[in-house]
Amino acid sequence: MSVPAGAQAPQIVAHTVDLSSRQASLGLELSDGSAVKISLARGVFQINDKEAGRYSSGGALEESWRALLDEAASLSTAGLRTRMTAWRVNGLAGPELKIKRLIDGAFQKLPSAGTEVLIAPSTREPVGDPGNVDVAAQVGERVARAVAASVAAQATQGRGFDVNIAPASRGVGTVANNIAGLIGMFVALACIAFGLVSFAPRQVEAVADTVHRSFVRSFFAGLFAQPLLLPILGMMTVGLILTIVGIVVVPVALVAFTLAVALGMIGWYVAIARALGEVILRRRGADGDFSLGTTPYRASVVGLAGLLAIWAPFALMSEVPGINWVLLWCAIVFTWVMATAGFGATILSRGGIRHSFVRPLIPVSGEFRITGEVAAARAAVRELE
Amino acid sequence: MRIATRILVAIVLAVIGIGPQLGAQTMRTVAGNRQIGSQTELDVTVEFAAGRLTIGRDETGMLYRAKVVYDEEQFEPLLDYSAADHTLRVGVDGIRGTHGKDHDGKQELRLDVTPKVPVTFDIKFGAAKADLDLGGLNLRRAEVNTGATDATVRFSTPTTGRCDELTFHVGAAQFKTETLGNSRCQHLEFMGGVGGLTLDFSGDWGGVTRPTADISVGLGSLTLRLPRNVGVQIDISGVFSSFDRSGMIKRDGAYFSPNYDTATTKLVLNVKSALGSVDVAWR
Repeated sequence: MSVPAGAQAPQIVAHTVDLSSRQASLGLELSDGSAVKISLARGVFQINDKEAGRYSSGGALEESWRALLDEAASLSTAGLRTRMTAWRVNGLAGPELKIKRLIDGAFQKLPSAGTEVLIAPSTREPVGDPGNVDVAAQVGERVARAVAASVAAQATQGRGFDVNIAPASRGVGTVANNIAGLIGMFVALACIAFGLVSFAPRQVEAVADTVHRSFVRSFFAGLFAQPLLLPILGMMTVGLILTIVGIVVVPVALVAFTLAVALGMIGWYVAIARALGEVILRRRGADGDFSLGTTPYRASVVGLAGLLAIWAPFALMSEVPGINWVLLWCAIVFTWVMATAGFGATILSRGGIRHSFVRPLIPVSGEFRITGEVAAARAAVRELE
Repeated sequence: MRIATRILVAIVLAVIGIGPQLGAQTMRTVAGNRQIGSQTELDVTVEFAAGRLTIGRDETGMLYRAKVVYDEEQFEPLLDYSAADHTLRVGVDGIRGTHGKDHDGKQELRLDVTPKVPVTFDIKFGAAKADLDLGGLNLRRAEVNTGATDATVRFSTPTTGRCDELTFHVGAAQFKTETLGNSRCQHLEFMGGVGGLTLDFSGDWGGVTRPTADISVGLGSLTLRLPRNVGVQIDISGVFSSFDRSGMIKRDGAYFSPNYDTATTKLVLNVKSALGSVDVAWR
């Protein structure tokens, strides 16, 4: 542990605390640029991310260490030293006692003003068996050896102590969140679809049929109309301002316009889903009289599942570098194309009122009221043919 | 009856859909405390997406003490100090696609900064409850950008540095400042969107004899709390706005406090308001 004359003991210049359900870590940045990280993580005592002992997870040592770090998060470095010196844990024995002594020893030596330094990486030996060391006397050596591998890199960074912020379970958690979000989106859209089919069945069917029959025409109508949304909003705002009296309602108009566009987008999406659902159901073998056994609710749900399925690969692989962006953009582009076509179909069908692009209908009987009227009529026409 | 059943089913489905979004939060604490060394300045950037934000003065001799408690499933901590350029970046940032939870009282950021080193602040916070006390700091400049918040910025004691500018950009918020005079800033700029806004210009202006403030507010109410020991000039312009002059005297198109000509410190406010109200309260 001796060092050349003139060397000064490194002082703690900063400390960090990282407390989570998985670990409780204390990081110390020293004045010579080196760093020490002491952590208790699920039964493993680590120094600079290297195992230096085992302990009973959730025991007295860990509990006391967590309480200490919770306090340390708000303490000054001087306060931390004082607190560490006064740190006592009753009832420790075996490995826990050994670890406690290791930590105590480290703190006794780290801020010492003598001629010893704790860390001199170039002179250190590889890490040995942590169970065979003289704890009190060798703690500095232990820390130093553990640090040796990473000190050089830390020292040359010239930056502060970086906290390891990547939790081990983040990938799984993100995927679970993505899937939950996707399911939530599906259920929410399905509810909206049910509402639209219940309360505006003719309009939804007209839009859906317009998309079905004239997809390309609908897409381009939507494509050309999209850039006009902002100018329309601007013109509406300017028009209101010019009337002077209308200035008062400008904020309301802005909100109403935004809401209308948002609601419209959902409506377009549902209509697209409805059209897609009909196609899917027919291809699954219900061709001919599928409408008689298939409600528009079912078609909407199946269509929504089909539309949202494009997001599933991204939801599952969002944490895979490289491919996640490809999947994300595929999903975005696909959804945009569908929404644009829905938007165009809404324009072409005047919100489902105009039936110019819908197949010719025959009078609809009452028995089709809870089924797809257009679809039913289409099936009936097919039967007649 | 059929419609009622459908609506009920829809509500149940919606609740089921929302359910997975309300998973348990996993809180994590990250803290970083640094001693004062040879630093000659400190540039602090705070970015805080949601939760409770507290900023104050450190009394323990540290350069800074930062503590972040956050939901690690939804946010990432920012805690980065660069010794090379004396910058500190602290806060939490939302992880993609995970917004909308209520983090009040659970997620928090506490930052204490030394009064011994000249400090500049760039503070951005979103949906947060914020309590910022910049009093007593060696403040050079501060910019506060906030979205939908319930925020208070105060200067409990006079700052010690030479503050050039104090800037607030506020969205939809209940935003309140206290004792801005203690900031001793030469110039204040305030841009407010929607909400209840209170600017308190009391405090000890010290050697700043002619502080100026540019204030622009949209919808909402602006309350100006003015100290009686300071001469105040208000130049106001607005569209469909009301202004409660409250004892001020109109002269040459501007409003003046009765003591304006004799006061040592003269505060000049340029106020622009649209569709809002501007009230004056003396203290």
